[in-house]
Amino acid sequence: MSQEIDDRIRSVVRAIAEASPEPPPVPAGQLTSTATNRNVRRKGALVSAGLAFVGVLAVVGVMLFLRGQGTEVISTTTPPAEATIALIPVLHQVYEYRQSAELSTTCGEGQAVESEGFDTLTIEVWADLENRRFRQQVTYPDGSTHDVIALGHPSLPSSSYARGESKLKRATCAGGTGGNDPGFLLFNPTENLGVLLFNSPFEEPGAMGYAELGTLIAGVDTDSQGRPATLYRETIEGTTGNGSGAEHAIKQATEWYVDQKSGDLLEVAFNQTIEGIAAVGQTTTLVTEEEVRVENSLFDTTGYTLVWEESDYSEGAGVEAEPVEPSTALGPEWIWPETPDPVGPIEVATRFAAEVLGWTQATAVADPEAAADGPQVVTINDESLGRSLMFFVFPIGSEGWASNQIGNEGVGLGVGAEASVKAIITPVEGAISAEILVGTADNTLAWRVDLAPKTTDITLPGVAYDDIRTVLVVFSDGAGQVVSAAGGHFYP
Amino acid sequence: MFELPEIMPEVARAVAHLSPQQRAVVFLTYWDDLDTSAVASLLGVSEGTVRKQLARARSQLRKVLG
Repeated sequence: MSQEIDDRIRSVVRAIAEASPEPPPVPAGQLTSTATNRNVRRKGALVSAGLAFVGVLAVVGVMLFLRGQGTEVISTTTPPAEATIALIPVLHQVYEYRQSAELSTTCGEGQAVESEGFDTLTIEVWADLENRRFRQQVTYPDGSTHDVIALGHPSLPSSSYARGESKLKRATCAGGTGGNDPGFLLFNPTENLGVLLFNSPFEEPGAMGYAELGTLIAGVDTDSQGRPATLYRETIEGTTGNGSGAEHAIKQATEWYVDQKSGDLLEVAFNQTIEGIAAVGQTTTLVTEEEVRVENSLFDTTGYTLVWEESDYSEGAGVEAEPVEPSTALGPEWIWPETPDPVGPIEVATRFAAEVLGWTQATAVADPEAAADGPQVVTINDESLGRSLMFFVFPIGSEGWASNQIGNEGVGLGVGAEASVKAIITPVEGAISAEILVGTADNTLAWRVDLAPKTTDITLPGVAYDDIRTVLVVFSDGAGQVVSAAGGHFYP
Repeated sequence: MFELPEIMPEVARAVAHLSPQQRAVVFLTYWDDLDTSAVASLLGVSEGTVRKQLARARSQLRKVLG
């Protein structure tokens, strides 16, 4: 029953996410395992669609992800000027934004911290609907500005550029809140990605507003500006945990003030109270909206910083591997060896180096701060080859030692078209081929593949995604010498 | 090949009614297929929180999925 509900949720999530518009892709490596070697399964480029959908349904969520993962690159390109067009018609909107935050003195596990900045600001948007160019300018009470230019789509741009800095006051809890972060702490409407655009004419499948979520509230006739408006409200009550067993009552309400005639959004307010943590609120009001004509240079990105751009994954990014006989056997609950080594962590690492990597001169060094009888990182070094590799070893009861994380870079899993399984790798310098080993519940499968310098996705025919328990990728150079390896354990 | 179901309004509504963090956990788990530790790391919360959020989300979605 549990598996069945999981499968149904997964199908629904996929259906919803795949109905979303093409999102900006997640730059390579964002969700792949890192040197800290978390096991990561992902669906290659489709990961971004999931993130985008989270963003569509919960801007809070996508801002969290993208803020934490974005890489700023100085722009070196500027869209070509269209000299023949002096003035172009654009939709011009002006918004007023205000926020408030009352964080408790304890603030969960930490203490309330407020950054320098402002709680009120003005947002202007110019939308060139025909050419899909959007500019958002935030003006702070001190007169400073923060601009974003987005191309392609206001909330899911193919590229976006920024100038200036956000001066929105941020509130947070020192030391974190252990999962109780109020939404307010996460959502920043002045973030570099996305442009605020009420009543967007662009399709945003999956984005639900007052019509789907709200309940008509009788007795309210105007918004905060005194304009005739109908109020819809969605209220959610529940509890939230902090990972240590404590729960806090949470209540949040989203209110939509809607033009009584057109049904267009005039104002959106979000208020959230988490008992013992915070009471926060933010309101965005559309003050004016009109069509104006502006110079094309309004969308000139010269002097801006590129903050988001679709990447080109087409050049050798994906390849398909050929099945081969496995050169070694993997375990289903740990990567290697198939049967735990009874001797010790150094010994199992040295054996791995010799038997799997072919690094016969390698030495293994344990982390000096790790307990000798506990999980520990062992570094495999072969000075004759100038290679080293991280090898995480842990004790398996009284049976011995094995590794469930291997490599300086991790390996991920993904699902591509027609449920094809992909191993997601980080390209290794000097590697031209790889053996991919997969441990299932009862055997080991293997494939071989030639690698291009940019190969990141390796399709593995003949294996079901849900059957995979462990993966080990062994990279080799042109001489057949192993240059690196990456492996992980994937929970069913 | 997956058979993608039509998105029933009540299902979409149920997903939308999840808290932002629950939605994030659901999508990272079922769409991105990240494991608990990866989800926890991305969201900056503990693995226990991820498990709780996922359990609650599953419970809510189970009601409409039958």
